[in-house]
Amino acid sequence: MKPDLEIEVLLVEDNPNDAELTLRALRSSVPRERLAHVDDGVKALEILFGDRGLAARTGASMPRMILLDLKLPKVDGLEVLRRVKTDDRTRAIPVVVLTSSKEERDINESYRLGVNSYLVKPVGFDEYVAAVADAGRYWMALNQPPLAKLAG
Amino acid sequence: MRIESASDWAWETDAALRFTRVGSAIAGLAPEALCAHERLRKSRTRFHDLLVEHRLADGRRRIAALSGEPAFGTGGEFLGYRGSGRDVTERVITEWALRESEERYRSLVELSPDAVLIWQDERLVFANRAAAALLGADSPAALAGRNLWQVVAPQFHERVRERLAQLSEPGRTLPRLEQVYVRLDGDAVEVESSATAFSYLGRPAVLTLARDIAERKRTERHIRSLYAELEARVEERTRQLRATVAELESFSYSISHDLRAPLRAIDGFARILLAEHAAGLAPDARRLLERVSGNALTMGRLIDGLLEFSRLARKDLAAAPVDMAALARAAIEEARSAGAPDTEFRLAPLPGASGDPLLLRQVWVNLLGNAAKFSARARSPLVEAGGAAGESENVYFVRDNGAGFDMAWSGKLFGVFQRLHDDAEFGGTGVGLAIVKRIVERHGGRVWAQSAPGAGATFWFALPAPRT
Repeated sequence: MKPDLEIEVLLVEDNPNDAELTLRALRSSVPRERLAHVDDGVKALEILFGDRGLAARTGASMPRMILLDLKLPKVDGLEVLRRVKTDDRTRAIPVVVLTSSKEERDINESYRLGVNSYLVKPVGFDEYVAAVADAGRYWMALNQPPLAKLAG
Repeated sequence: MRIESASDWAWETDAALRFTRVGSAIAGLAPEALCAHERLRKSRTRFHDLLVEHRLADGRRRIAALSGEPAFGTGGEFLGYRGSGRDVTERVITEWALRESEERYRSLVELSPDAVLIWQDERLVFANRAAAALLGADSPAALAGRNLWQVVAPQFHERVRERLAQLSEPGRTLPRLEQVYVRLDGDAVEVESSATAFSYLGRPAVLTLARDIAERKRTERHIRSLYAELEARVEERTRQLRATVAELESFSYSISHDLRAPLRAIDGFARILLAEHAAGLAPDARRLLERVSGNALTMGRLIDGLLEFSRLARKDLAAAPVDMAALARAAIEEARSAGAPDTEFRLAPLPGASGDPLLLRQVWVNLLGNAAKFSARARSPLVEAGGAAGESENVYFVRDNGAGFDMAWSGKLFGVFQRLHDDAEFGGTGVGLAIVKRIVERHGGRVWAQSAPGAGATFWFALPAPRT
């Protein structure tokens, strides 16, 4: 990740296989250098809210989408989601949970915290690529983000 | 000498006390009847109402009461007795009966295992042996005159006082009371008592029957404590069982999740190889990669089935009136659009059910989907569904004219991952019927099937009839 470049997608995923598949799925729509991948919740929060994170830097724009796994080392996905959705600077970033959990608890808690999309990872690679690519297309191309910069 | 009345008659004896004359009514009196009375022979004094037994000509036993006085000759010599007699048979028999009855009651009271206590003016005037034993006295006599309030334990004084007040009329009986008596040694004894008002020796009295219930109470307490212990044990077991089940469920759930990730990687990288490196791969290598990815997908479906099955066990069951006909119609539409466009579906009227609409919908989807799948190769596929309301349960069925199965394998039909047909013939994960069984059984119902190879199959399920 090059901090001087604008990050379009933040991928928070601890499984290297899934990370690689996700990156491939997004390859056609997002240049690799605009795509940040971290493998735990602490690093995700650092990128967003750390001393040298995006929120602290003047002029830095926020990611246009966060792909978030739930089962993460250290700080888990739900906590990352909560922090993102309770902070005015990051609230408007579309967060897509990408997880293998179909647990009612995980699904309902994610929606309660304000998730924008909840995707269950399909086993089949074709469906997986389609799901990630569709989410990227929808949130970054079709969806109209807020116009005015949210008050920081 | 008495004047002979209608029922009296005169008699005379000689000096040896043999009757020489008796009244007509005493025809059967043996002449020697008085001879045996040694005292009369010796004392030669007057006597009154001496009872003498005799038999009438017809053999009936009679009893006569004779009164007489000695007669003496002019020289003072004893001539015999003269007197009158009366028939007293009825009176004597009544007296005997009364005496026997009294004796019977006395022995009943004496032998009674229950304590019998008679109170007058709050003092004990009679007690039987059981009462003595109950109160720890050596004999009933040792209890004589004992005060009621010494016998009844203080905590029951008020209750007993209230009960005594209700006994003002003779013949009143009080319901049984569990209370406590105080023994002579001061120990308490639990008794069950009942009381009745009656007259004793011409004065009002209270008769109390009391039974030692210490043993019964001990047994009751023992049973209660056993019961409580059992309850606690059952509760503990249930808790352990629940914990184990929950552990197992969460284990199978997390296993299923963890197994999906590598499968995704296997399929994913195989497909990437095929898509991006096809040029460098021999045709056989491409075929093998296809098989790698196909197997990964199959395993993924199996895991999905397992997940769904395990989720069912944890889902709370709703209890609502369910329109089974509407569920079946929706499931038929689903089966039709899922690849059975040529199948004819016939739906007979279905009785309503009570249960979880989502789960019961799954039952219809699985059974009708199954039927459509296994009949798809029939010349004219036909799937029928119907049902009937019964007194205790409603029965539903789904019938097809498809491949059917050998009843020898019916035991495996509803098990998880049990399949009677191989994948090449009919696809599937082998959890559909297991899910049906689990849902139906969680509703308190049952499932069964009837089939023969090539002759189609009928699946039945029964649910408890909805309470109206």
